[in-house]
Amino acid sequence: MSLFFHITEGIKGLTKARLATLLSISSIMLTIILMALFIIFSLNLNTWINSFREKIEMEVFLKITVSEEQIDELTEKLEQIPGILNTQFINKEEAAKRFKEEFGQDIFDVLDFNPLPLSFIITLEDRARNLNSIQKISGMIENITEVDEIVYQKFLLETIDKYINFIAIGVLFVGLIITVIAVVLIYNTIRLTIYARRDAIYIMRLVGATQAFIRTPFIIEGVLQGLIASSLASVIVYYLVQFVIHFIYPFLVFNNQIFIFLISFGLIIGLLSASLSVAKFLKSF
Amino acid sequence: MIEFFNVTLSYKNEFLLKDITFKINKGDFVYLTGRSGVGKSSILKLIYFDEFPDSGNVTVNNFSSSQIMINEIPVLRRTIGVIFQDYKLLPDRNVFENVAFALRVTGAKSKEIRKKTVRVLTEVGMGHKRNQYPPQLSGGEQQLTAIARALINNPFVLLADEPTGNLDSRASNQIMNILEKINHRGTAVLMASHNLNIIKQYPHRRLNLENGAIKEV
Ligand SMILES: Nc1ncnc2c1ncn2[C@@H]1O[C@H](COP(=O)(O)OP(=O)(O)OP(=O)(O)O)[C@@H](O)[C@H]1O
Ligand SMILES: [Mg+2]
Repeated sequence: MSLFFHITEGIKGLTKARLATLLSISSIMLTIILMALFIIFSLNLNTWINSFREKIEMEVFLKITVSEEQIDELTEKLEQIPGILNTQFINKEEAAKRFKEEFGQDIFDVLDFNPLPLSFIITLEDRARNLNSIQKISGMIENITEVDEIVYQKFLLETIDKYINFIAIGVLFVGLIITVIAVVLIYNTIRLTIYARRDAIYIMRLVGATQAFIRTPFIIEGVLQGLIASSLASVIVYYLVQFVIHFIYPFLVFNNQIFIFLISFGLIIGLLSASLSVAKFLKSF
Repeated sequence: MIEFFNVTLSYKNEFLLKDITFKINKGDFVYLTGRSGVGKSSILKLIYFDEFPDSGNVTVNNFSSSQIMINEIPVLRRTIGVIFQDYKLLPDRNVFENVAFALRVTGAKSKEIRKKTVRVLTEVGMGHKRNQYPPQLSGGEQQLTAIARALINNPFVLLADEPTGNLDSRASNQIMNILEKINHRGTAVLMASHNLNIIKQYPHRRLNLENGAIKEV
């Protein structure tokens, strides 16, 4: 009964400051769509960057003096280092083959002996595929006396790390801005509805309605605004994504959980901003 | 009942009420007079705790302005009826809904709301107009509706802030008759007014406010 009263009063509030509400809902919807697009973009960028990460490996070249008899022992040593998934031994013949693949020239055409050292190709665990971990691992490998030189794609790693930070900061920043915009919009429409209903509020206080009773419709109204905006945004984003996948870029990475996120976002934003507005614009006694 | 003890109230460093002390007892009918801006409405606000004194104490029933908790204020207000010069009806609700509103927002059951609303509207003679909207009513009828709303919770006191201020003498007399009838049934009435004709015609105890001080006349 009472809940029914609150909800009908909340809906009345929505229709009372109709233009403001409409503007607020559509603006919040747009900002949420922007946020969703941004999240999807980051998701794809991230996937793309991770595909680069998968190519990262280390090459460990051994001193010329090292013989193949020592390899088993070295393999064991290397695989004990945390972060290393497995190792692949490259003997002189294989090294020559790789040289040919890489440079298109037979090493024996240039020299009449094979100068290439023995080496290992090291595959890293996923969590170790970043500059920091690789530098640590590299330090530990260097301590092995038989090791001559370690080679890895330092520049690629640096670039990836830089962009990952960049994306994280970007996501945070855009998220923050959009949150602030949405909060301000709802905060303001609630302020307008409070103003539009000030006479009814005055009467309610006068006849002894409790504070919670007076505030609840406005909170419901804010939550409704947030929910309506985020639901509409979700529908539009869904169709946009379908469109892109079918007609533009079939490899688009997308996760349905984004909708749960968007709708919770709308709900929380509505609740938060309406509470702020009510605390600010309704007398507490 | 209602007791002001050394009450001081100021707005923006300007004293409006200085050390005011008076008492209104059960079933009293009291006028509150004084020229415009002297602080009559402010005294009424102090009674329904819409304002708080800077110093001194306002006691209404068992609640004191220096001790009441915010969540007790609604409880107190349900025992007080208030009407105004401008009626303060909600124009988008009909007479019935305006009156029922006072019960609805206190969480009453709809059957009880219906019964009490019809009864109180009949009492003030507005039963037959219960489906009309305030803009369709005369000033007197709007004030009667406001009185019905103020009475629906069976208040021990009715605070009337210039209730006849916008009414002609015929409507004013109608309102005064209702107020006296309510008073005879035991509800105290505190009425702010500068209408001396009315005060002469319906003589009662009178408190006059001047320069921040209150005097029995
Ligand atoms: N909330 C407020 N803030 C600042 N000043 C106020 C406030 N409420 C009232 N006042 C001032 O206090 C004075 C007294 O106001 P009040 O309404 O109590 O007078 P009144 O006797 O009821 O006057 P009237 O006969 O015109 O209704 C006025 O000068 C008014 O401007
Ligand atoms: Mg006044």
